[in-house]
Amino acid sequence: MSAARWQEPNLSLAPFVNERPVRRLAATCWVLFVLVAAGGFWMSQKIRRETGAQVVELSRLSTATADARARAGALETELRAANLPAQNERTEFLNRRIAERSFSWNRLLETVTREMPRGVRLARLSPEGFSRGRQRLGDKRESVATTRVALRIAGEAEETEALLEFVDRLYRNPAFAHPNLSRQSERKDSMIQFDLAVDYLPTIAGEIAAGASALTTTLTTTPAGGTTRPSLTAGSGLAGRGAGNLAPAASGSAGSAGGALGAEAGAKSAPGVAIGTFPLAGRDARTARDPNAGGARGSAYGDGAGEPNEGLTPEESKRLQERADLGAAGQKRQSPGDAAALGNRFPPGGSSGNGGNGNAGGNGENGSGATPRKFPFDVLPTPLKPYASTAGGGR
Amino acid sequence: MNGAYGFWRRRVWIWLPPTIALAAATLFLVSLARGVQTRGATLERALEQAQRDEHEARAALERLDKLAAAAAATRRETAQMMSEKFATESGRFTDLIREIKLLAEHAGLDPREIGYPEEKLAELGLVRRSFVFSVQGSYANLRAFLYLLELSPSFVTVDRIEVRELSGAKGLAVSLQLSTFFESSPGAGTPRTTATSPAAASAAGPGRSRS
Repeated sequence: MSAARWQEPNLSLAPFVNERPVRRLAATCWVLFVLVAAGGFWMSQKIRRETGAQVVELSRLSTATADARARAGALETELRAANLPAQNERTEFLNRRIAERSFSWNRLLETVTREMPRGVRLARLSPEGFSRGRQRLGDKRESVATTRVALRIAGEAEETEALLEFVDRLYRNPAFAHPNLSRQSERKDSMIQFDLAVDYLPTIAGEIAAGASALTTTLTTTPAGGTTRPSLTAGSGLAGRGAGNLAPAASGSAGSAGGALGAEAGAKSAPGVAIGTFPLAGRDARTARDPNAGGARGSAYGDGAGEPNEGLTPEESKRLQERADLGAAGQKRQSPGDAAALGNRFPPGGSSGNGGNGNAGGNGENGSGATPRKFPFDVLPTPLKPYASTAGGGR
Repeated sequence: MNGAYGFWRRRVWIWLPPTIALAAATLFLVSLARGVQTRGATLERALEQAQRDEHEARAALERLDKLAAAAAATRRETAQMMSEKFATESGRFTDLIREIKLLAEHAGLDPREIGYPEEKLAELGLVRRSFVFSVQGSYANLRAFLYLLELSPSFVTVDRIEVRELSGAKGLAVSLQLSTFFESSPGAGTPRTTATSPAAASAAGPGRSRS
């Protein structure tokens, strides 16, 4: 067969053409196309998944934002309707009244008379700060009575030297600031009348009193003279009680008896201060105990000189902290209920328990930053100062 | 050259479709990548913005919540204080007089004349009632009275103390001005000033003028 084939006639229509390169290229392109298309499909699916999550998140955020804005708008409307400025004015007024109520005249008298040398007596004592507070309801000052009280003292002195000694002592006492002897004049009976203005710092006076109350007086009677000598020892609970009984010169008036009525009894047995000259007890009166330090120990009302947060449970601390957050300037608030509760927690005669004094003031004026905030953000509600409960006194 | 060109042109139906498909797929992939990049960035920005907005809105809401809570707490405490301490005059006035007289007696003082000047604080819905009186006694009596007053649960403040030494060592003449507040009753009339004695009323004068 094969020997004769080449002699057979060539009957093909066209000459042979090699198409394999074209077909290889086409096949390669198809393969690449499939790969690229698959890659594209995979990528688009992946992107859809990823962006889908983002879009859902975006949608959620938009909804949450709209919701928060709607609620904020409602609250803002509510706050506008509440008329915060008027409420603040009222609260500030009440706070000043609470500060006045918490102001201890006894401690003031004790502090002033302790600084009075012999020969100087008081005629009038008026805290100007209260008056100013009453005059201006819009006055923004915080708790005038518990921070700084402008006092005006009118009195008389037997001699100039005694008066000057009094002024010097006021300068030295940290419970007083800026003593200003504004006038002195000699009367016909050679007594010197004077007017004096001084700033009284009740908090510092309270701290001093608290510090002093840590040391109680033990009195010992000297057989020879029959007189008593005050000496200070820590931890003795006798305080002025013994003084009232034993030592007329050092009895120190009302504080000599425990309790209110006892104060009266002590006072009656205290000729050193009952001779009619207001604080002529002078130096002797230094040994006298403040009724707050003596008699008040039996009561539930402290002197308010200490840290108000001592001895709090974590819950109470947290509540105070939450409230402190509200007011800038580290304002600590306690509700009346808190005050009552806290007041009972502190040991009598110790710290706090005192409505107004236990309060770290600071009127949360909002936004210390440069950008002023609009109402109602620029008006923080002034918190009412804690005040002792109905069960207790004003202090 | 012509022959090769003609060869490829004559077989265009073989290689052109896959080439076009490949080019289209490549173009799609490239545009997808670029689109994703752009859209991703846009989405990212939008998300960040939305997060910021949401954070701000939530912070504003929180602040307002706190403000509202603080305002409500203050209102509640104020109302409590008003009801507990500043109850109406009809409910407390005579009790206060009794209490002050009792405290003075316990302290060894005997107020014989007491003035009760009144001042209306209309914008606050309060009435200030003062108790102005003069007593004679010792310094210790005064201290005891102040002490008892400080312990009293009533909301009475000491506004003014004036002390004068009596001649002949008879003790001190003490002029005191105390005051308290009453919640205005709805039907309260115009302000009035009541004093049981002219002396007491005049003694109240300076204090009032400072008010």
